[in-house]
Amino acid sequence: MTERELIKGCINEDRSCQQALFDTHAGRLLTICRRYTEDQSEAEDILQEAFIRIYDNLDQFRFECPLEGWMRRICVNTAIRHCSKKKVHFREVDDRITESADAEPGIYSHLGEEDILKLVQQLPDGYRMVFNLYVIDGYSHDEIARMMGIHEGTSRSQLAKARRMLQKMIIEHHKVMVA
Amino acid sequence: MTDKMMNDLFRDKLERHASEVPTGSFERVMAARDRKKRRPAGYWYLLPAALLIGGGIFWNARHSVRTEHPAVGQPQARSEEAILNALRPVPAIAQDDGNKIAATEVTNASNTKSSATDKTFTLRSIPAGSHSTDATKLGKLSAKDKMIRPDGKKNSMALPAKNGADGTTMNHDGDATDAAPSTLLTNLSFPPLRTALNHGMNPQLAFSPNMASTQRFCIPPCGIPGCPDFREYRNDWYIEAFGSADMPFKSLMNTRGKSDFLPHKDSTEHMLVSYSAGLRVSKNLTNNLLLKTGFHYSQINERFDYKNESEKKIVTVITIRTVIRGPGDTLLVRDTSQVETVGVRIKRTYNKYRNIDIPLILSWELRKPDFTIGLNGGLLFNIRSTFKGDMLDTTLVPMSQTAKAPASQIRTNWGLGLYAGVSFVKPVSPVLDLFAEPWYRVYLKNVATDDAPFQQKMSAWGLQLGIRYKFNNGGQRY
Repeated sequence: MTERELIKGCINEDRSCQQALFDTHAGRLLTICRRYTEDQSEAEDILQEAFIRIYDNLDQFRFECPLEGWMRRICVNTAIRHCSKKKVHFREVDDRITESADAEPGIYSHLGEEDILKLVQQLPDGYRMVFNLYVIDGYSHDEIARMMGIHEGTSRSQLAKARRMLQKMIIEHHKVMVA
Repeated sequence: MTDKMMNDLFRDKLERHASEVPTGSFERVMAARDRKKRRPAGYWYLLPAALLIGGGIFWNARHSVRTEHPAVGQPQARSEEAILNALRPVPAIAQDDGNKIAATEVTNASNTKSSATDKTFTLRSIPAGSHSTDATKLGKLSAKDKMIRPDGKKNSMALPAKNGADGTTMNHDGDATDAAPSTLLTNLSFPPLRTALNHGMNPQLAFSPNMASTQRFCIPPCGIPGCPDFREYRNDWYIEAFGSADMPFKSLMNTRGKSDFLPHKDSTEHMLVSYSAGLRVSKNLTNNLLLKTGFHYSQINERFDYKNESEKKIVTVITIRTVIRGPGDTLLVRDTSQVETVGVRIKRTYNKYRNIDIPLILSWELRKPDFTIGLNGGLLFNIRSTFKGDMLDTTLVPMSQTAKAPASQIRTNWGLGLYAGVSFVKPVSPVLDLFAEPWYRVYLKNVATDDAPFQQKMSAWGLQLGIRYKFNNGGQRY
């Protein structure tokens, strides 16, 4: 079944097509949701909401970009919306990690995808949001600032601090492994 | 490691990574989607929709009634004529008997629309036992039967050509009727008058409001001059349903808090547009005065915005690793560390005050044929009030609370309230009115608890839109 047929089936509420679309993309979209949240159940809620939006708006997909990219964007937007509903936002967070954590490049090669995902999940809310949007999802600081309602400088500083915190966490992780 | 390398590492690892999706996720998604599809988008449109539908139905009903008028109007006109014919012979009887009973004049002073001439209607009292008078003596209206009106002018017993009540033209030429009086009396379709005549009573008693309700005027306006205007003796029951958009206000007073408590509290709380709804029953006490009671539900919305520039948060990081030190030597390591972060905490909560009140309202209404204005004023007895949301405590920290919580700063009963409003009522059918009512409500009591470091009084403005249904349409109207 081609992608077009799959989409057409979903628009026509064909259950098998909807399931096929879900099975194809749910894993990668769940990773996106996990990147933006702290725990698994929250991520599953976002995934559920994202798929509802996808099914509801699939008739608006114009084939101008890959389907997966369109779905990822919906998923990211859903995650951002979900996070912005949370009552506590840390925007100008000073994590008091001042030392420069310069790690050997070799230690990164030992990290698996799940390890990296867990490290990202451990970041504070604001750090995690900016890091994900900028580094992985490819948004610019200007776009992030507009999406999150913060200054562009805040976005830059949060990213820098997120990087430092991640480096420190990776070094700590490596120390444990070596020990 | 450069930033770019780090970015690439994270992007490469996570961009295409697929997590394991729990079993049954698809079914949950579809179930949630189905639920969402079934759920209505909102309830706000229900009231105007109900108003429109209800108005449409009754508008249609009113038009249906209008088309039936010619069919039902004919028998009524005949019955009126029968009444009048029955009344005509009476002066002749009195004259023949030489009975000099003074003419009884029934003047409908209450009907202000018609002229005095139209309202004057003369009858002679019927002596007891005179019902069996010879038919030939009945129905003759001679020139002698002209009565003296209060203004001294002579007035014919012939009834005014135009009755003035419903515009129906009636032909009363004073000719003798061929019908026997007994038949007329028996067939008289005006029960109070028939009762009065059968018992030898003064016919004007038939129009008296003191007569038993079953004998009173109980048909639509008959058009007989002297007959009480049905609008003048109201005994209407209404049920009113309404919804309202409210704009609440509150006044705060510091009692035990620090000097900066009240400014902080005031800056964190913002009143929002709220709503109320209710159901009332109203009853005419007099022609213009109504008593209304029922229940009001109101929800006052408030936004709580809190911002703390130096919020501290401790994040606990637990890292679990499996370290393989050699063949058969596997070590599970748990590393716990804490990171303290300091930043800005922003908290936004939508607080809700919910009240159920019993109103007791007096309404004075000025009625016009197609429009009514009412002045309403009365009391609201609060029977239950709840609060859910956040408030600052004396240390300027947000405190989530509900009305049931022991530390609640808001009372569960707000006591007595005052209510005032002006209603504009537009009838859309004989039984249904639409109304709009701008109103003001204030609770007299401090709604904060005695333990709270402040006093708070609540008031609100609003605009009610609703429908009013008349219970007893088609029943007695007197």
